[in-house]
Amino acid sequence: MLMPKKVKYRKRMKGRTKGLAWRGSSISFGKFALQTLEPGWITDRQIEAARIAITRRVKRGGKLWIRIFPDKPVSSKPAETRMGKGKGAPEYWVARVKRGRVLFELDGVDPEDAQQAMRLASYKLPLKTRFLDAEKRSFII
Amino acid sequence: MSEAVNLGGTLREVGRKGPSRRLRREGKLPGMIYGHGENVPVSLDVKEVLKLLETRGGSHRIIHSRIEGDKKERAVMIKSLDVHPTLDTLLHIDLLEIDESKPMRLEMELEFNGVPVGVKEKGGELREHRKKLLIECLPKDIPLRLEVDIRGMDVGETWKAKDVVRSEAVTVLTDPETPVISVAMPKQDKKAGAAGQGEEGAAANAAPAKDAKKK
Repeated sequence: MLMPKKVKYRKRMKGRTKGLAWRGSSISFGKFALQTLEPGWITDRQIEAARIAITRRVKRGGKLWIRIFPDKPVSSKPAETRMGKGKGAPEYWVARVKRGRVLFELDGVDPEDAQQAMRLASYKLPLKTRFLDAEKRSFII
Repeated sequence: MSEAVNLGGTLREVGRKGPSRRLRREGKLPGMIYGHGENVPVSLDVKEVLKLLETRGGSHRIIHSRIEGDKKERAVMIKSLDVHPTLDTLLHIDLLEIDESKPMRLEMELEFNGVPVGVKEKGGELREHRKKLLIECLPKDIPLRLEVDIRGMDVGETWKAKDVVRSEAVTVLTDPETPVISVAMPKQDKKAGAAGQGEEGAAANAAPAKDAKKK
């Protein structure tokens, strides 16, 4: 599972995810991509599940890029614990994503296979997403 | 070679967000021409820009831009385009003014046409090593796209940068010995299968191990 090698501070505040992803919102490496249409947190497990779904669908063909990294620790308190006594222990890692962020990119596969693979990956994610094809990009007036 | 196209537009008022937003509401696209001397803020018609982008090799075309209120006609190329991340609307355009008498450098994407013989008949695997090449040529000689016919490639062949661009007007600046595309025999299926099982097995084993740690 993806996680940082080392961090400066073990625990972090929740924060807010406002606005649009002005960076990392266009296809940079492959021909196809999965883009998020909602802001939110994506956990390391969800990223891994989506990766496995894509890899299995394309039968290890093509090349996959993961454009997000879970660098934010999320802490939680143990079950049946009274409130207080400090912040809980770090439990898992999340990637904060803003609207428009490209999550995965894929190349070297047919457009139909890429779309199917991204659809399967989207089922593993907690956000609304859309499929992008670099060659069929159209602009709206 | 790319043909020159005409694009009309007007000079625009420079401000912060307000004037640009007003322009976008009116169906105009705010932009900036730069590259030679002063920067010229312009507003273009979105429909005209879209028409230009949809044509073949749109972004590498020389545009003769006649800006209303500007002193001269300028030869420009699209340098960059800002697009809304989710709505796909055009927000801003950067136009680079060019000197048509001087050669210019640009990175062009390669387009591979056809299926190699080695892949079709001998079960080889196509490997693209480079997607773009750095080229130098006069603006009038800029190709619409760098097309490469790969139908004749056999298993074991590797085409280098010097093999794919044969136009005299275009100089390839990327190292001519750089491999661009090759056809190789795929690795043994057994090996791939074993590696795949290992990977999936490792992923499956990793989860309980972490859970056990938590407990």
